[in-house]
Amino acid sequence: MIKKLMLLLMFGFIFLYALTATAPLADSFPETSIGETVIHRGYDETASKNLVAAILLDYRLFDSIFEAGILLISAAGVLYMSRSSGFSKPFPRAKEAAVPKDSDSILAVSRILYPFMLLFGFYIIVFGDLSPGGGFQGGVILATARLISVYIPEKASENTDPLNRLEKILFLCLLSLGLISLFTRGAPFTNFFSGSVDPEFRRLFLVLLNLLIGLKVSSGLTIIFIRFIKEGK
Amino acid sequence: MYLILYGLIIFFIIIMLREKESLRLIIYFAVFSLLMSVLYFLYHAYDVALAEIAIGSALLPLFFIIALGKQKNFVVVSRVEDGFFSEKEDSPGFKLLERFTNSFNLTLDIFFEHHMHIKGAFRERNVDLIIVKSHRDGKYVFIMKKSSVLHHKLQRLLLEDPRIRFEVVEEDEIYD
Amino acid sequence: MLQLSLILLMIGLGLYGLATSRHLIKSIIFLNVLEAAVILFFLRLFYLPEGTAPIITSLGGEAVDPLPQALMITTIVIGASVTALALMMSIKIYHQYGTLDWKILLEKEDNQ
Repeated sequence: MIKKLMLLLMFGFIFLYALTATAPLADSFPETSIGETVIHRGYDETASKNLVAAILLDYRLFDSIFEAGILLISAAGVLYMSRSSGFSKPFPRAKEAAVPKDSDSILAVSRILYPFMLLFGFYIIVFGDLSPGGGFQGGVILATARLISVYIPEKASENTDPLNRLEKILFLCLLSLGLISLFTRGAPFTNFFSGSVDPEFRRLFLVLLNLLIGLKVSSGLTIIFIRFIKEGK
Repeated sequence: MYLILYGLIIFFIIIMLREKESLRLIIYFAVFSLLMSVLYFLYHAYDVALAEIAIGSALLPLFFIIALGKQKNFVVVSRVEDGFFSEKEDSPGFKLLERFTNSFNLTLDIFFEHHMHIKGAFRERNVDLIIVKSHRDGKYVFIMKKSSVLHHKLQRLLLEDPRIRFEVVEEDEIYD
Repeated sequence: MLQLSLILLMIGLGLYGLATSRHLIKSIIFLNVLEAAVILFFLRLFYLPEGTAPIITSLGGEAVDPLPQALMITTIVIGASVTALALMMSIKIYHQYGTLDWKILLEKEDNQ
């Protein structure tokens, strides 16, 4: 009881301190100078109408690629932990546990929903530079569609090795796509078309990048998901 | 508008703080993420709202539920394998255990090891129940650890059966 | 001002839940709550009531600063991968120790 009271008191103190520290910020509407530049020059420099995607896919593309790399590392960690023998179950499993059968309505609904979810995910990915969305969000939706497909018996495959290889290859593709501009424009990690080309052509780079990131994110999350399901079996 | 959303979110956080059951906690978390993404949308951050709604209220709750489902195993190690208790589904011992695990929504894991060391098995190997055959009276001995919450319930279920003797041991001093 | 203080209250509640919850899954959930509240704090800080989303349309209007939003997307993706890793660890901890209660886990750690 005393412990909880102390904790509450401590958090109350931190809360009050943070409140007084942030009070002047509340009505001042701060704006970063980078943000202002992006708003005014973003479309001309990157050909992306969605300025958040302009920052993610052009101005700080280097960071975004290695952000996708963090997902790769996370999937590798999950794979390692679920395979390591030191932690896993000590006994060989003698008998499969009685798993309750999935209901027919779930199966029917997932059969109908699966293609639409794939379509929506690809829409979010491909139009990521014109409307809200992008590689990460669309990739997560694709992964969710894959999760639904686990309920469909004829589509379920549980081997993660090809997916793992695919994710590594996609990561290398991302890196090399980012490096193409080193040869065409002399600067790495930016659009490989120069600024004088028509924006409709320069969009190609963004769409390609979004597609690669989306496929990579979805395969990484699918690996994690399948390892979760298979864990302990 | 904003204040209603803020009130709802803080209400859900407080519910989550007081909630003891994990499955309900996860559902509340999904609702919390949904409300959060509505707020992000109202603050003109459409991309962040889309990411939050896809990850926070669809993907992560699924991961949580699967992780929780992996933690409901009932591990049984048996030294005996005969007419009373075997891999066959119609053996009486197996039926008994299945009835027990089905009523508590657990997954039954059975391992047969004829020469296992019982000493330290509960602590090191996360076994819930050990089945041995006693040499003295020919009864089947069900051994459970004292700290397990389930041993009272299983004991009540097995009380009528004359073939079974029940034993509860402290976690660190295992009967052998 | 009121909104900012409510967000700070959310952050405080998230920290409190992280510190006091005894179940490991609950701790991971409150880590996510804390993260969502911090993201909300940044978005509120850079919010213009009469602004528009940072997407160039024919409608015009002053756009909200896109830089914090780009950083927050990074935060969400990294948070998801951290959560997945933490959940895998929790499964492994359960299989080895048979419990997810912090108190019992710490006792077992001391005994070994």
